[in-house]
Amino acid sequence: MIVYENVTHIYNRGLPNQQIALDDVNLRFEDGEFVGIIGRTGSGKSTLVQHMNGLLKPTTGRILMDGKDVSIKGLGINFNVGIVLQNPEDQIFEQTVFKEIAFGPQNMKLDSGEIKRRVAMAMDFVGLPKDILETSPFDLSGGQKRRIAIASVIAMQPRVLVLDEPTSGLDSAGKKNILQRIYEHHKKEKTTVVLVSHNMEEVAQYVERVVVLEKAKVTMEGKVDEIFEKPNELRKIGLDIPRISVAFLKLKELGYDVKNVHTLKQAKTEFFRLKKTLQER
Amino acid sequence: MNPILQEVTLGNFLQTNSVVHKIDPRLKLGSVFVYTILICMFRGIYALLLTFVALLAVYKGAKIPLKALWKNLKVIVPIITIAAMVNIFLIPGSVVFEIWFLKVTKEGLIFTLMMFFRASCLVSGTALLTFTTSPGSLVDALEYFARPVRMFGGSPNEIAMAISIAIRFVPTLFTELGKIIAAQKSRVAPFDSPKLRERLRAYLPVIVPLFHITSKRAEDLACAMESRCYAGNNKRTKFRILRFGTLDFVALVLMLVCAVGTFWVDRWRLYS
Repeated sequence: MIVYENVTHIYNRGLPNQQIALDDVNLRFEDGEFVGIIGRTGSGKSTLVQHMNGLLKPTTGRILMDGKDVSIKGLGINFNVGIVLQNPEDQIFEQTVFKEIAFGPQNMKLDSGEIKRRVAMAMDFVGLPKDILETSPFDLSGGQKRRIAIASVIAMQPRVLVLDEPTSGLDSAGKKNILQRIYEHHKKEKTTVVLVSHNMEEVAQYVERVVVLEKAKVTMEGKVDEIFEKPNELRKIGLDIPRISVAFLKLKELGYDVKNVHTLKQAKTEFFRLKKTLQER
Repeated sequence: MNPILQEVTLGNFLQTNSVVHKIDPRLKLGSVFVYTILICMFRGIYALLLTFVALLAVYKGAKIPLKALWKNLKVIVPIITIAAMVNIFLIPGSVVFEIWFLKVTKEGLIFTLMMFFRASCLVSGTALLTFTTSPGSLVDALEYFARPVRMFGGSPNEIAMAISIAIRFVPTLFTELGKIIAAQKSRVAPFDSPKLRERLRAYLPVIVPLFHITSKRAEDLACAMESRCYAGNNKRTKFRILRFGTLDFVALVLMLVCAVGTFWVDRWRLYS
């Protein structure tokens, strides 16, 4: 469990370009949860997640992981939390894909058998073919580089996996694929997953709980259904609800007896239920 | 925008709407040039001290917080410390005190102190230029001073553009660097390992991606400029035309007074 206690983060403190990135944030991430963080660009999402493994230290406040303070200045990185930063393909540097993915596990001083096992697992996880193991990662496409970067964090087998916009810039098949695998991993290993995203469809489909950030503050927090029940409040801060939810709100407006739905799967069952009742009538 | 290392202010412009910001960039650039030469010519500590105090006054006038200056000065502290440790023991002269076989001399102390102020003056003076002059106006000034290259068929605009791009991308590169360090730290790169060798090796995974990104960025930038029909030839007209006004004249006189004054103090009170 990770707890944020009154966390405030200020960049360039005391200078004319000072900027409050997080303002008195109180949050709680339970073990085994799938949490989504949404908010406009510049609302503090990235800053928020980078506190989780100690990459950033709060200006005031603290972050506790299982009761232990990870936000003490001078304390290193908390390796129980694996963060995939934005555009993670920018971190690639090794000569071969294998070495690239093995970088994390190697730094963790695992033995070579274990490293091999983990690289294979991570490659499989993100759906990369085995035959590219010895090629240079720089020769691969953008989407494949992204997968390698994600695999390199997966290979460390963190207890908490944080993904900062992992699907931006990927094609739709790649997006679905990566998130689906992360979701399966979460279900199987009971890993806590924190997903920062702009894509409401993604959030609706995979996430259990949503945290809404606006202007450095947490403005809303709750189950997906609760958050997407309030489209007007979300629109006010420049966010939206999934398109399928908009469609079903419209149906409701037109006088049909439908529930609010947020994913295609829910929409399908709801639609067929509606069709049946209409036919019976 | 990525948060880490964003706090680096080196080469960053701070807009505060002060008088110093409004001075003609050509005058500012020219005076920093003269200032640098002058600082290197000073032989005594008094002129250096005087310059430093005067410079702090200009910082006050430019409304630049000293905290911003300190961030730039911090960079030179390790260099100064090493040089000081060597100089303080190696310069011969009248001995002030002895530690074991090491002799600390009066000359050594003065020299070290002077080196400290000289370096501080140099850093703070040049930093003042970048704090108070936007990269755009700095290029205008550079272009003005590069005018003689026309005689040899060169283009001052191309030179100015190249320099301005270099200046412009320093903060961007720092941001990029911060992002990469964060990413490698998240993968347990041993940045704070007690072993120096391991720590140095931890920087390879930072440098390779940085070069890769930089060359990619340069290519993108070249394409973007090309597609906007950039040509650095001498037929280019200007949007901002620099004019030397009353304020600039006052500033020029003030700076001349300061330069002559400190130089006079220096030659008059040598070492004493």
